[in-house]
Amino acid sequence: MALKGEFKRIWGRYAAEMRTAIKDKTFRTGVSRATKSYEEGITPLLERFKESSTLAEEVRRIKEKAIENIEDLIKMAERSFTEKGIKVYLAKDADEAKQIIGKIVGSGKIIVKSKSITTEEIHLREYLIEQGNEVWETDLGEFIIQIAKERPMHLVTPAMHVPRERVARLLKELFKRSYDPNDIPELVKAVSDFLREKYFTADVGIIGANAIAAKDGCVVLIHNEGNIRMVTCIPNKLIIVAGIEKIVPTLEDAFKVVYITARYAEYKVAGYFDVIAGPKTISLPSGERVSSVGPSEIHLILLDNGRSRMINDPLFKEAAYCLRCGACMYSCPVFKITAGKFGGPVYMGGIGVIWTYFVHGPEYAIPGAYSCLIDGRCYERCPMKIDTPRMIKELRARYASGEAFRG
Amino acid sequence: MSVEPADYLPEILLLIRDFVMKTRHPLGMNTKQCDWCREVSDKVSEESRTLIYGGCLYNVMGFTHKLSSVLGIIMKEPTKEARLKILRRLRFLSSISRKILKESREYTGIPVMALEILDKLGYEVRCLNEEPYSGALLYDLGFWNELKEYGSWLTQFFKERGVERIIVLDPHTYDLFAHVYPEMMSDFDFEIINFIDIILEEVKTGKLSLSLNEKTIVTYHDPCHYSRSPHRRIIDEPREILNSIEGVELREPSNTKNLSECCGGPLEFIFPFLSEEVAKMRFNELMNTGAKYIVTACPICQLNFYRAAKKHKESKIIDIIELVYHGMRRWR
Repeated sequence: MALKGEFKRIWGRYAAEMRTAIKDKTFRTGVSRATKSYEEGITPLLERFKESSTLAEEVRRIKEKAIENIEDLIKMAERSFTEKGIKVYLAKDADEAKQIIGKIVGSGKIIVKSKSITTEEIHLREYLIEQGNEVWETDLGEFIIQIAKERPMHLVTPAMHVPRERVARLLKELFKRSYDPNDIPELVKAVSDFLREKYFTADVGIIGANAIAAKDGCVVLIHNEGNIRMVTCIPNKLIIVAGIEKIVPTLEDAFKVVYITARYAEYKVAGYFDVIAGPKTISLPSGERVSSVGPSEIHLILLDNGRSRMINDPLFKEAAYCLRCGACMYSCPVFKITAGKFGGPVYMGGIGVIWTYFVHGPEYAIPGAYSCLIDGRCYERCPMKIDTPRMIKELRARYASGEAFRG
Repeated sequence: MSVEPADYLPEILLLIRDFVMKTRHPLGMNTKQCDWCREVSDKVSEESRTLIYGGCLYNVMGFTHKLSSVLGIIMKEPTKEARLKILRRLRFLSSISRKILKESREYTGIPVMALEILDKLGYEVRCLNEEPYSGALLYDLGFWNELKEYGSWLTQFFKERGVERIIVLDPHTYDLFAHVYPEMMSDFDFEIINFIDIILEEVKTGKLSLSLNEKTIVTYHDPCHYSRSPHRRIIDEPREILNSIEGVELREPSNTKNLSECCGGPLEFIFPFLSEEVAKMRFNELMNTGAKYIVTACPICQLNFYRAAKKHKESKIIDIIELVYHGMRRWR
């Protein structure tokens, strides 16, 4: 009896990455600062905004109903968005999504994109670069991850593990001048000056979505940096990539989802809320509509890639309620040490293990499933009260019985 | 191409599963070695239908404590399975003579103290000279088919001995016996009582009056299986007991009650290097309270803090049962 072939490699890589992360002082410093900041800030914040927990309960109910009726909502969304001149595509898996996007983009283009774990899930940036395009992440944390050639270690603060000292070194390599690691405004300015040029020369903007309103035909996003506005308003083509689980019935529902996402990610209010409801047009007196500044073409790719299987599995359906706020990760005793090394190849933490099982495959979720302490701190902090420890145990049962790889 | 658990589950997990199923002991040893009861055989009531049961957990932790450095080398990496395979073939742990390696008394003394406390309070209970393991690890690791089989065997084992009530001492056994087994098996219908509830009851009636010789600052570490149990959260009860002990000043760590941090125990055999780090972080947080004693209510937490405490000569980790035992001065 022994770990065979690919499984042995998966375990070996996982254990090695864990070990390296644990011993890496730079990594540990960054992770420690970010998680400590969250732990100290979240309770007073939720005290200050006492209505948060009641609204979170309401959002849970909205998500439950939406997931229950997902097929109808997808159809409704298709109609609403198409009416507004937004092209809708249903991609059953990562390959189909990439093909669709590849066709829309073409080759030799400059692309600016905002942070989206869904685009990481399908390795979109790498694909578009392979197709001969220049792609730039515009979220500061994701930009750092891109130039450091790493993968994100948290949903909201993807570069939490990269202390300012390393950022200064990375920018020095890229821009060929020295930076004071403690002059954060200077570091930020260096990146935003660079990206400003890219925004105005980009052909395509790519974004994700925090919530999709099926009836109103709009996409709602939150961001702190304003980068999404630049990505969505300047290039001529806009591509929105989102999982089907993001769809809720109305714009009101979508606002509530996004409000709670921001709150539990520890924001008093996120800097910018954006609603995308159609290509930019001007109405002429003749009744004609012509496109204005901003995208004349908007494309919405709705991604399945294993989500239907998750939703139709009663034991794991609640994993689809995840808002991607990242609260669970900041609260996890393992994550506080290993950051996103705990989880799957893309999705992080205990909830990430569940997601990995369905979107990337059971083989990739195995070491993560056995890295969980089943302590339940994630559940305590999750606004959706997703019982991840229960689901981790259920996954273990599937592995132990062999069911994970049958049918 | 068919794939089997042995292809993708590391040897250490399969080993634990097989040990529990074959020997009723998670380390593959003989249940003859789960014999803390023999020490207090003069205090048991053979006729009693109430059993005080440690599930061999304190004995297992006592051995693990002693074998820490050896086990550390063997279990270092989940992918280095060759060493573990040797364990299986030699049934090496089974053959360790008690004369060479006795479990650490810091653990095995605790169920003994629990029984002595009950005896002093006038309870008539019995214990088992050979305790089979509760099966808790099978539950946590997802070996649920095996758990059902094991649970059925254990049900018969207790029934054959006329057991009707079981007093349990630790969070894992409590969760399993009070909630998991009853859901799985309709004939697992024993009355399950947590030792902490008995102590609190006696403290409330005034029958149990506790005090320490000198003023002592303690801090309490909530076991995850108590403070965040999906079934019954035991958070206030241990605190009420501790606050009733004259001379005790209870201080809370920054993360406490339903937000306590974990001791790292559940990872100690799969990713020991990670488990250690988790234990270290929590240990430091507990020590930051300035307490002289860290009070635990779980032998797994106890072991993990001992390991983290290695360099701290000042720190003491004490099970709540032991603290109560030392605090017993007067009783009516």
